[in-house]
Amino acid sequence: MAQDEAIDTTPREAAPNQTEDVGRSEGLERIHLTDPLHWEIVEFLEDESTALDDNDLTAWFQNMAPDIVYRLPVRMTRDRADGSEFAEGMFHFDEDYMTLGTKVMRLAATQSAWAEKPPSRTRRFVTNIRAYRLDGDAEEYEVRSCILLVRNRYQESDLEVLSARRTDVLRRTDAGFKIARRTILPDQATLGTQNLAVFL
Amino acid sequence: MLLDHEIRGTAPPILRDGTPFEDLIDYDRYEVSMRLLSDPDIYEYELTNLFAKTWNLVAHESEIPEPGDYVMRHIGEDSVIVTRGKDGEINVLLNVCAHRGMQVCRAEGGKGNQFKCPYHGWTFSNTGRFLGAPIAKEEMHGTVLPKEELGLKKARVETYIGMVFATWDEQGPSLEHHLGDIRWYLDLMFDRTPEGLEVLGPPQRFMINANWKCPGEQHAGDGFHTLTLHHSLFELQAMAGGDDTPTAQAGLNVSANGHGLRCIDVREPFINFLKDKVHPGMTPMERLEVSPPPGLRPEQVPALAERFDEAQIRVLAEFPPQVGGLFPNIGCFSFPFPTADGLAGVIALHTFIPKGPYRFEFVNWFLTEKNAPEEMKAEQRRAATLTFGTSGFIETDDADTWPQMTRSARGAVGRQMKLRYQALIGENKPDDWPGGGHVYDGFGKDDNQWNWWKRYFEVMTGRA
Repeated sequence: MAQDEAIDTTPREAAPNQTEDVGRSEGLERIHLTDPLHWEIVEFLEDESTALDDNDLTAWFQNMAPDIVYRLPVRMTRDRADGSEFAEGMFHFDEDYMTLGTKVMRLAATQSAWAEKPPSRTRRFVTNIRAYRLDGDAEEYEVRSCILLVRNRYQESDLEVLSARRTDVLRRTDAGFKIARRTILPDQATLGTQNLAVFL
Repeated sequence: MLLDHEIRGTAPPILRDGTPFEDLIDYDRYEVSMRLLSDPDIYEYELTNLFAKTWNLVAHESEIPEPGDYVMRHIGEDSVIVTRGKDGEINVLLNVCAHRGMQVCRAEGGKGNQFKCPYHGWTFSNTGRFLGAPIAKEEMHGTVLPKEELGLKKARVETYIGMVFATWDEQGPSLEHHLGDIRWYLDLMFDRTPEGLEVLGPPQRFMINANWKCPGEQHAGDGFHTLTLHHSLFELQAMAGGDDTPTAQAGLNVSANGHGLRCIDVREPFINFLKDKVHPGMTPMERLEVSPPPGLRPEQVPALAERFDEAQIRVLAEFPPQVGGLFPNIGCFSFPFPTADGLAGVIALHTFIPKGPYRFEFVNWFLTEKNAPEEMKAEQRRAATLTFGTSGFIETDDADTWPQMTRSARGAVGRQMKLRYQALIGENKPDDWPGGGHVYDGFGKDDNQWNWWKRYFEVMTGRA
């Protein structure tokens, strides 16, 4: 019989937090709640999520910059020593302007997008909004927020819930803020919803 | 032996209300009872007679490339750890401590050569051997059983073109025998280069409130549903200036041991991008050079001739197997998807993991060639995420359908209704068709899915 290996009792050190894994932005200038700019950003996010609640996808899509990167990475339970729980190469949403637009057009303009026909009833609660100034030529802000998406379909009495933290990059344009980047970090490793035919 | 030590494989002859299980299929009328989608007793039999007996896809080798890597997965409702040992071999271990049944692995993936149970500290190697418990001199594992008998239960493991399969059935057929004639076609979908495929990352996972057999039987060969359930695709095609004629219905459905694939007739290309590039007079290799198999670059095409014989090359060029499923709960895909710049190869594997009669977990891997350039991988990932899985515009519609079939099957009357497979081609394999298995040539019908159900009954009743 092979010699038994010894029991390894070496403690494994936690891997350093990845930027995406924490709620705060390090090293960026915070836009405080006393600054009117903070409330301008809050207003934008509230209007944007209301368009989704109202199922006005075409209006919602107007908020996207042409170079939008819209992502919801796959998550997997890991020990702290093994690094970030979020995958780098695998996503539930991995959209650019073209693919996000295609998904929106299918839901908004075709007759047979059965996943949302009849539509879900949805409510988005956007909270804990913290905005930071980004360096660069464009006037851009990093905005971290929490979102609770509540979804209900058919005669089901149970509500489906999807809770996540978001990191956005908002860019000021002549037509108001546009979302240049949105990363949605779900709190579930296994999503408890049958599909993401809804956005957040 | 006093304890239930073996996985019992007895058939479910009589259900609780006196109905013989075999009465749930009518071989003359090509019908199965909808009770199969909702009966809790049948579900229990599936865990023991089907999932514990069959070959289950648990991982792709590229998810655990280095010794010490592991992922946690499921066989039926049993949690298993898929590990790569120091010797490079893959192990599939029941995630149940041999002491008091606690789960020894709680992360879903990572690195670790040993698993220490958090309850009493029993420690196991990543090959499943029991290494010891704390306070060694007290021998807290007792003296009744030797340490060799206190390891984590190990499943039988076999790999094929990167896919890791496991079964609890030590005496059952080999994986090769289980896959049978479908392997010839799977090679064309997934084994086109010496390097082979790798996953783009950990799989998408999400829950669907439906019986796992809804997607199980669909993937065996249901092309017909695309015309209606996925009609929005054709509407989008029309909005983009194309026509809305449904495509990809012609070809050959092939079936073996309950596995089923659809070999799509692409001799007349229906993807706009290819319409002026592929012509009737072209040889199969010429076709493949302008329209490479999904995920391959044109410069990789000449080497296909060294890997596959002439007959396989012709099938790959004219009737490529593109979509299908492996019995009982696996979906597999390898097809080109039009993008703004050309075509992206969507290569995907699904498993439908049972979580009770009314719920399953959808596990979805996207794959790419190991040596594909990063830009190509990103294109493939975007195309796959656009179409498949959690948010894909094809499968979001399926996910809304299966729960309603399952709900229908819960009513006292609804569960007596039938799933019907009466649109049949019957075997009509063309004389020059080089592949094996049962072959059905023409507009895809119900033959493959009927074969899936026949296999299901064979396995459930212990006849296979």
